[in-house]
Amino acid sequence: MTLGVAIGSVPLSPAAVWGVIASHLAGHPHDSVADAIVWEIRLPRVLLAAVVGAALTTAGTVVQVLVRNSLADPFLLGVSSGASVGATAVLLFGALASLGAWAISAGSVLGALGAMAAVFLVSRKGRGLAPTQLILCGVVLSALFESVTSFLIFRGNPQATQSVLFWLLGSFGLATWPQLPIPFIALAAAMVYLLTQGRSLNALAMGSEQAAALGIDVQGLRRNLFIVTSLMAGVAVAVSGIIGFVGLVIPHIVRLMVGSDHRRVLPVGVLFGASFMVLGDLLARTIVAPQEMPIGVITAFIGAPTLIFLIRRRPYLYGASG
Amino acid sequence: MSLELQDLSVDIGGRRIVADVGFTVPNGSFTGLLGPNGSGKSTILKTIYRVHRPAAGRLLLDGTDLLSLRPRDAARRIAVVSQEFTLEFDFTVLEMVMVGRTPHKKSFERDNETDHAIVDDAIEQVGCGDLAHRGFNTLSGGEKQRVLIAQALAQGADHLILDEPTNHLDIRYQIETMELVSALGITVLAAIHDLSLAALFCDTVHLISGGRIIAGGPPRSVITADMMRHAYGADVLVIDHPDTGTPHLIPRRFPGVDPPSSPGGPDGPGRPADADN
Repeated sequence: MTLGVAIGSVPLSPAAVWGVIASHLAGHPHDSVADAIVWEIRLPRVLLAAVVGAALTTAGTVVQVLVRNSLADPFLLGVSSGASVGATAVLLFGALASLGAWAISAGSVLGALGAMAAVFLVSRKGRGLAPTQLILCGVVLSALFESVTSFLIFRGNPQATQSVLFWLLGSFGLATWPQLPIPFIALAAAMVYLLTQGRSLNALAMGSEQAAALGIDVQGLRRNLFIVTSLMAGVAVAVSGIIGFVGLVIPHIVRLMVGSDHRRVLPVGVLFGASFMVLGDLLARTIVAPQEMPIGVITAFIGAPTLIFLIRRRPYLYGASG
Repeated sequence: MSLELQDLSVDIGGRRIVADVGFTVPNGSFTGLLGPNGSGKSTILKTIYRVHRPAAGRLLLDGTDLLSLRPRDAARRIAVVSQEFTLEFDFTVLEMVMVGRTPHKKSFERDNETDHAIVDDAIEQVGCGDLAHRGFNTLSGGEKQRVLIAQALAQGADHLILDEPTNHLDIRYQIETMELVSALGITVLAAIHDLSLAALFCDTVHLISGGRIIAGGPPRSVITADMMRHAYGADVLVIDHPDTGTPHLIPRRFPGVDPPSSPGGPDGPGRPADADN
């Protein structure tokens, strides 16, 4: 699966790619065209795709348990639509212009955090986050934020709307090294926390009452999972736009491969989600070269039929949700 | 040494659902909670396993305040098989039962040989050895119930709470489930809908109506025609079970309603003779 990283740099031979990487790691970079292509353009792009793929898969897996719904995805909780509002405001109206190249990321992170806080506050009832309320509040507030985005586009400059559309569909085209550390650290921190909660996630998959009977602090766990997944999804959206389907489909594919025990699903999901996104991005920039296909189109075209095929082969797995 | 409820009251959404309920579940006993739909049986059980918080009163486990225990410590003492269990993502039977080990394990601790032995024992004990690698969602209702009991056994608790364990099960699985539970030798507190079944298996029953206990004691003294009329507003005949002498309910129709004619009966129209061949 990690082979995807090597394949992702195709037109150069794999040996040349590793040569460049090795020379940089050794601290003696060569000054060649191949070096520039690999180190400055391709490698950060591939790594960013891998991190985002892993983050979206992980967030999707956890959200599906959090709301006990197999149709849930990481954007269910309003993160993506909030981020759109922020990014659109930046792209169309030059908000946060003082931040320069970081303005779009900052705008979308702020939007995502705002949406997350709104969903959290609205769906809080009594002592905790009930799954149904979480879904409904997420869906309703997402719709509201999408209307705000539409309103901004309507009010904005027609030329700029194309860049908004492209952003909304997601791309890794603007990947640079400085973009990498934050999503990587976010993913790593989230994974460490989630791997300690593998058993708790399994218990939560039994339902909140059964989880309580198994000695889980359900309210606290739900709150933590909500924050962790929203942050992961928010950071992913900030660096790559809204890439649909990965967070919905990959967790299901992984469950079909290794079962539902989250102590296996989470680590396998990271590898699989990363590989899938790297390959998807590879297709996105080669299939209609020299133009770029939005990655969201690719992920949907691959993801949807794959999932339908798998569901039809193992009908019982999702029997309870029908 | 027992589970004890003292003057327990529970409010949900500002309404008092359970009011001043107090009883003791002696160690090793099979205690039944009876009562009409919405009488507060499930709420009492859910308060014991921390879904609801009591508005007043106390829950004592062997004399110590149950709610002062850490959740995982309480879960090592009290396991639950709840009503209407659904699973969104399928787990195998082995994985399901292993989830029962949750309160015994630290965050990063792996399943060790002891855990596997306990899980295998639990699965054998409920007679599901041949189902170990099946997906839970592919099982029948009775098999699912047995797997959930195995999960509770793997939890290693000495108290088992059952919320209407025989709901949706056919008569064979109803009996099997109750026999299985009563043979476990642990303390059982169960909300039970079927009063005749409760009488057959429970040592003690408590009858709840409108969130209050209106009778408690051996089934014989609680399950009477008068009590049933009082608690359920239903007119029933109570007879002695021919095997056990426990009370057995026979439903009756409203007075003045003619029963449906019985084909083949002495006064019925009868069937053509060749239909029996």
